[in-house]
Amino acid sequence: MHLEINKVTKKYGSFTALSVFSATLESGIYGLLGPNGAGKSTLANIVCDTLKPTSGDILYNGVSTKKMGKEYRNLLGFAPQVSSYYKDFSTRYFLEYMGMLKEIGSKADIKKRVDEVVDILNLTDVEKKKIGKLSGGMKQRVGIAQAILNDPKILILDEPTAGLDPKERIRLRNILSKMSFDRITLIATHIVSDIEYIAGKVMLLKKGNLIEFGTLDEILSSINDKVFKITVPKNEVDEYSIKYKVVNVIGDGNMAELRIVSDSAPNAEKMVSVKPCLEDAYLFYFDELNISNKVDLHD
Amino acid sequence: MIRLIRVELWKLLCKKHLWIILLALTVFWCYFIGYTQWKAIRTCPIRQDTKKYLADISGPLTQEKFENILFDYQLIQEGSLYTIDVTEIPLGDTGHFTINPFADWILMSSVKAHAEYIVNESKNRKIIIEQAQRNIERLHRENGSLFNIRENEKIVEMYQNAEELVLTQADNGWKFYFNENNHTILLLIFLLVLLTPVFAGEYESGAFSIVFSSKSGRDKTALAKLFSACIISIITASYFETVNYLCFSISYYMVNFSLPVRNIEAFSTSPFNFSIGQFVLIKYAFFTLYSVACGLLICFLSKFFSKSVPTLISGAVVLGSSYGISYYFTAPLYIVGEIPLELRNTGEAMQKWVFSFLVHPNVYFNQFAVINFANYPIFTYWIIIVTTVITCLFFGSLTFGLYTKNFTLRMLR
Repeated sequence: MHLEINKVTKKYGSFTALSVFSATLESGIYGLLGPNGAGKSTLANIVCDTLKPTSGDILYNGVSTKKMGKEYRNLLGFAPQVSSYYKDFSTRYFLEYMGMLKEIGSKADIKKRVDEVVDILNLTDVEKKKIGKLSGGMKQRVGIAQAILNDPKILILDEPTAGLDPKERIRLRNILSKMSFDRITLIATHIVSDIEYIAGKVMLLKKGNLIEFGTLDEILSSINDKVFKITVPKNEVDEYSIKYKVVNVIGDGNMAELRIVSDSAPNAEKMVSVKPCLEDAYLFYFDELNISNKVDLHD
Repeated sequence: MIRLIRVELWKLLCKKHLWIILLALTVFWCYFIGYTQWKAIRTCPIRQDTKKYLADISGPLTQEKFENILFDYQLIQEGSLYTIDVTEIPLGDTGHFTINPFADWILMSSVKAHAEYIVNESKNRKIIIEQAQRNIERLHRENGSLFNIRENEKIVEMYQNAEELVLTQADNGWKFYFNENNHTILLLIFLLVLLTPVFAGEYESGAFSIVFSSKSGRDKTALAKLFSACIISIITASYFETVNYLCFSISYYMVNFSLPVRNIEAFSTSPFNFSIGQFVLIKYAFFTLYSVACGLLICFLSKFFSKSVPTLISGAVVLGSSYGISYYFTAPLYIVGEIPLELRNTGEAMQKWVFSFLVHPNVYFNQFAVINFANYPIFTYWIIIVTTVITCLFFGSLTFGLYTKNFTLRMLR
């Protein structure tokens, strides 16, 4: 089973949302990482056949998905970024409706499958509640529930953890890990921790371009010797924040420990090179200086 | 499919604000048409006198009745029939009464109208038949067009079986009911509010993407949405038509469904030999068909813009202006004034077509409006029906195509 995204481009007038994107996906979890506006949702929507690419093609096991049509959509499960859905529907009614649209069988089959999915995502308490009255996390779970209703071979999740608390995030991660066998799961997110522990391969997307694609180790090896820990006086923290990409700051008395991503080693007394993590890679590639790092440690 | 239609209906109808709007529109119409007329009739002595007069003359027209009406009419002409010298009528809804110097006018005009109607009605039909027969002879003599001969033959055929004239005290109710279709505005407002979210709501909430990525979501959902829009349009039209009928019937006690519609003054020169009941059904059917066409147009706009506000605005402009233009060209002169000379031909043409029917059904059904179809005279209402059905199919299939192909306005950029 493999899904080949072949030179896919999406343009809106003169704006290119996705530029000649190519990748081949096989069974496993893929993380699609990028800042807001990088083209993650565009790619997710194109893969899910809800958006037509300007050029390029998507092949499933060598067959164009355009030709497959319904057959291809039968393999899909999609949880989009927006999870407002139908506010006046109860969770159960909504899932049964989606079961109808996905043509998963007779009325009894749909009911049975909905029962299973409700159980998997722990939605039993809210199955009679209206979707409009659910919390953000619950809505997100309902979104994922409808996506897995047809036991899809290709599962696309766009920002699945938006609005979830840490406990729910961990729970969702575990669910996704369990479900990842024998299916392609693509998680589009800008939250590094969503995919750091579960994604077999990671794609870094920047302004519509795929800038890195590989296993976590491959991506991290590209920034080996570029992540440093330095200890500096508190009053120099701002200066370092301007000069370098600071991942985090830990205050300790009059001193502060900074984690820095930099092409060259910073000039500091106590400086050590450390093992990079995905968050460092994110900061390195997306060049986003976190202004909030300018913490006033004098207070 | 039926289950999907049920879900789509549920999606549209499970909103509280809709029911509040429906209730508000119904209450407004019941007050505006039902209560004010009822109050005016019940509390105005002149109207009571008129009602009594109409009750006296109702029923089949006998020679004695005919002569009495003509006698009263002559008295009016001479200015000697004054049943009430000074009468009080209500001034607006304030409950205050004032002396009306024109108190007898309503009663006199009612007598006059009936007398003129009786005299003219039989005369008109006779004249129409004689004229058509003369035309046929002339056309045969001059080797005239086959269509014109057939048209005149049709006129003779349709006017020859004139029914016995029956006067009914409910005349006024039927007259007003068939003359005004202003509840169309209620229908348009409600349909706009109800059907705008059919497609736009799904795009705005983002739910369309899960529908689109489902196995056969696009085709079946599009059909379910369009069918549910049609069902809702039919139910809504029937509801408002019934509310409108009830509002009139409360005031005028409209019965006599089996009487020929030609007995109503406004239909005296109608070529159609319908009964009042049949005409009510025709009115329902046309109104419903129009409602379905409007519903599908709103669906198209909803998909085309994929946003609620542009759909509402464009829908209001398209539907409102078409109704407004139709009203202008077919309304009585005392409401809209004289139509400018250069627009009169347009006005006359429109009276023979669908716009006339939608606004003032009696105007359309009181004339012999035919077109030449392969030398056969075909009533334009057939063209109206076919055109409306084609319009429904056009907007339905266009919306279906746009939805299943996921066409958006962004693609035009």
